[in-house]
This record gives sequence, structure tokens and C-alpha cells, in this order.
Amino acid sequence: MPPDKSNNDQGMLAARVRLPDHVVYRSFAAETVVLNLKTGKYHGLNRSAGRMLEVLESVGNVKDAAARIAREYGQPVETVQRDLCGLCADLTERGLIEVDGPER
Amino acid sequence: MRLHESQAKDGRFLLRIDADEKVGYRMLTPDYGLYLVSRDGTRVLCAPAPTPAWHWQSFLIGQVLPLAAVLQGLEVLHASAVELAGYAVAFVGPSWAGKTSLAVHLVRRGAAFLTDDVVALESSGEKVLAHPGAGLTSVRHAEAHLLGEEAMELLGSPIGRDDDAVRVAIKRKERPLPLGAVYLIHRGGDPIDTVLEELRPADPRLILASSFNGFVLTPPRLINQLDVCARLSRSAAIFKATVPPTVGASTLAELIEAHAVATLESRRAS
Repeated sequence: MPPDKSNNDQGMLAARVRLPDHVVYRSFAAETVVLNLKTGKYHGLNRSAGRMLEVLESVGNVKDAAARIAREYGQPVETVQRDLCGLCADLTERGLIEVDGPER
Repeated sequence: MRLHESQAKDGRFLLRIDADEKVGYRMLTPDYGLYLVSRDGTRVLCAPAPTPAWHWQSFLIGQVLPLAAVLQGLEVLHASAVELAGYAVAFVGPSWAGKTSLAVHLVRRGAAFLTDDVVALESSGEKVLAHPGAGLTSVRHAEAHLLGEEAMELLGSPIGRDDDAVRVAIKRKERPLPLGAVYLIHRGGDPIDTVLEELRPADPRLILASSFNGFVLTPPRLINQLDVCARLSRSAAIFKATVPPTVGASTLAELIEAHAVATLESRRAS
């Protein structure tokens, strides 16, 4: 893994995340729909990404969220950490979560 | 603030909807009159156009009251609905898809009428409730002719007519029902057979696009719309009905009745 990406993931793992007040989401049958009330844009997350968002919101801490998801899905924690950090980066770019901590 | 303006092909304006901080919403249409809806949707003032009551009331029921419902926290779909097997079954589709004719034929077969053109939905626990609408429906003259005089008399009392349809007062279900199934009616496809396909899962965009009153975009409305549509996707069976142009409403009603009842009874049993 390139060093920059590895460092970014480490930074993200140490971060806390929160959903801004203007972002809401609901679980549909097989997809989570996220609505940014400020932009009026809707975003779709697949089932596992939707579950990750739920756990992130509930736990607030990326590392702990990854641990819980890894247990829930029976997956290696390193794999989940990588996926979760990628998701957080994507959601941050879209303005759907705010990150506090080492990774911005 | 102008929220909506539509015009006829000849440039004549058809409908204007404005939002005002003090008044609420103002709906103006030369054919039906002027209507004011309070910001919270609890009061409606009407200055109808000088046309027969049944005529301007069709706009009140089809446009003004759905706006009031949305402002009061309900969500509305452009759909007709009847009761089958103890559930509300809704039919969604564009104009001329045959939603009303389908509902009318199902009523003729014994289903209870719930609503025509607009169905108001409310979250209730993990379910969605469908509320009864006004006990009124418009039956196009061609369909009325196919139904025959006796069936039309059994359907209800005519209260008016224009070039397109006869307006009928129809007995309706008086209480809300859990929404059990939604059929998305699409005319086209195979030239012979009607195809009913369960959308599992249904694309959220299809469900959200079935919503009405696209001009109320306040955060509470958008959140409620998302909430109701999400619950609908999880709690109701959703089907795409591809119906050849040659299949009439009577045949379609027979097919849908059997399909919906089997689906809903199976769900109840599981």
C-alpha cells in the first residue's frame, strides 16, 4: 500500500466522525438513501455501506466502528478498517460527514 | 416566491403556485379559481371559478388538499387505491395508464374503494398507512360505456360530466389501512401478455418519484418523504405491471385481484 494512503487511513482511524444536522438518511429495502438538505442532493449507499454509516453515527469513533462491523460481519478487522476509511473519505468529500481528529 | 408555473401549449397559464411567509401557499388557476392554504395546512380558503361545484372541487381534491396533507405531515402518491385482503393496494402510474379504470373495475368485483388520483400515506410503526380520500372518481366516457348503465349505477351517483369523463360519488372505506402492495402500471411491452414482476428490491428512486407535490421542498417535508418511502419499501410488496395497450381494465382488474390477494394472504401467513 502506498505510504500516503496508509498514513491517511491511520489518521482516519484515529478520528471521530459526526453527521451534520443537515444530513439525514433512511434505510430502504436494499439501499440506504442519504439526503443532504443543504444541497438537495440524494446519495445511495449499498447495504454494507449503509450499515457502516449507521454504526459510525452510533459509535462516533472510526476505529471502534470498524471493530464492531468486523465482529458483525465476521470479517478481518484490517479489511474493514480499510473499507471504512475509504467510505469516510468518500462521505467527507460529498459533505455527508464531518471528521474531527488527526485526519481532515 | 413563485414555486411553480405551468402553461398550456398556446401560452395560456394553467396554474401558479406561490409561497408567502404570512399567507402560506397560493394556488391560482383560471379554470378552477384561487385557493389559499395556510403554512401548516390546517386551513384552506377557496375562491372558486364560476363553474359547477363538482368541477372546481376536482381541483380542490386533486391538488389543494394533497398540499394541505403534505403540510400536515402526510406524504402523497399520485395513485389510486382499493382494499384487498384487508390491505390498501395502490396503483401508481402516469395519466392514461388506467389507474382509475383499474380501481373502478376492482370495486365492481367487490373491492372497497379507498381513493382516486392521490393517496395520502402516514408512517405508523414499521408500516405505512394509506388514508381514504374523497369518495369521488372520474370515469372516462369510453370506460363508462364498457361498464354499462347497470354497473355505473351500482358504482355510485353521477354528480357531473364534461367532454372526458363522468364524475361519480362512490362509497369509500372510512378508515386508513396498512399499505400492502403497490403496482407501478406501465402501458407497453409484450403485445399479448400482462407481466407482473416483483421489484425486490425496488429502486428507491422509483418510490420517491411516485410522490406528489414536488414544489414543497422544506426540510421537514423532505425528511418525512424519505421516511415514508423507506418504510414503504420495507413493508409493502412492489410490483411493476407491464400492460399491453390491448388489455382492458376489466381483464387487468381480474388479474391484479388474484395476484394481490395471493400475495397479501401469503404475507399474512408468513
